[in-house]
Amino acid sequence: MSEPQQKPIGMIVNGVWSHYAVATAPKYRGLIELIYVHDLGGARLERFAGLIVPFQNDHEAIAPHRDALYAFLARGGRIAVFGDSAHWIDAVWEDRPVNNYWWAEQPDRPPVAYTDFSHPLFEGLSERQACWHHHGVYTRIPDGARVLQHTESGEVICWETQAYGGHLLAGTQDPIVEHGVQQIAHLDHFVDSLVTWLCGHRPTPGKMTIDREAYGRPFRRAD
Amino acid sequence: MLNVALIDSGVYGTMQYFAETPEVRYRIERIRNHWQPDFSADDLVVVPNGADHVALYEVRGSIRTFLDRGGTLACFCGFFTPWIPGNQWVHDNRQPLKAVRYRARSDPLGLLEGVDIDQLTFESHGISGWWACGEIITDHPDSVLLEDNFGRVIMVADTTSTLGLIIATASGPLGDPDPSAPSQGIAKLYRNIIRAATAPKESSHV
Repeated sequence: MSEPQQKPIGMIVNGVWSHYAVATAPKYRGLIELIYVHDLGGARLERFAGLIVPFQNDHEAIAPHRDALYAFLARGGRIAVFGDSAHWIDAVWEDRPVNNYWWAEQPDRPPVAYTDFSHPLFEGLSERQACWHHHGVYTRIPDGARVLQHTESGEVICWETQAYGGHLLAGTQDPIVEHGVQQIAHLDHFVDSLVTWLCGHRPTPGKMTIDREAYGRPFRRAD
Repeated sequence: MLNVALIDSGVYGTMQYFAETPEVRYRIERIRNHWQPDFSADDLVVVPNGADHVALYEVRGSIRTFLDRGGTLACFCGFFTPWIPGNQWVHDNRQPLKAVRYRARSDPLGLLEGVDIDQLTFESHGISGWWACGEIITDHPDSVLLEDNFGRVIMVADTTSTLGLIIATASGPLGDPDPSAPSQGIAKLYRNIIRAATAPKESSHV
């Protein structure tokens, strides 16, 4: 599929390198625009079909813009929030120990025990492609929200609601950070599916490559 | 007493890997919009993994001033913007992690004393290649402390680019002892950095 001129996805980032690595990778850079978290107040969110809020973010800096993000949902937009402590959404997150070596010690028992593979984000993915470690759990989610992933003990890992107009999906896995770090080899499948779910454009299949020319450059903030 | 500015980018949990001791006092330097840090009272600036390299680029002048009065900068994160004098981090995913091994190059400051490099290579439960990502392109090859078996620079201790000391990893995180960590190689390396930051500086500048 050819790349659209207007990037359909905004990724809210706070200058962490793994976010930058994904958004500047050749297979994603035509689809994802970086929104520096301290420029969020001036961002024209209506340009985007979907927003990603990756793990390792500055949620204290995002929280003052909660109304703009919920207005984006009210217009039918899609937002995917990953990782921890996103206290500005209508849910409660709690920390848990992170087991990111489960696959070496108990490869048949991933920390995420259940996934709803009928959801478009997970449809077509294998269990291995959909499940890896997580950063905490949700102990309260909005009324009527659909649980998409949970642990063996039933603690919520990923959920989605359409109660605000568009689609708000929140999960405590960290697909953008881990894909940027490139230490989990299979995440092209999940991130490609995420991009497709957010904007309807599927990235070119294949392994994410790095454009070395994107490094060592000043980051241009919004005017 | 070593006065340390610990850069806080608002990422949950990052600060828990640094603990005060009678010899080390941490000052949290929180990044906010239009951040204007003052490092004039600090001996060491620590940039942990998960740091904001957009903001750090904007204050590169303050960092340079701090280094040129003899300060020590320790950056344990992928510095994708050009804010560290003489050194640039670049991502690289071309080699399989299971094939990555680290090895020492030169260590005039003794930063690797007592450090089992295999504990860095196999940092997580015997899994190799997880400690560092990408590589550092340095103007000063003599400053290379660690490289990997593909010849990529993993860690530098640079006393040439400025009048201070720049210690940088290719995003390999370092910090105080973590009781849940499978090995203590990382903590030992961090303690050696604290020791080097405490010692009087001998810059390569003449």
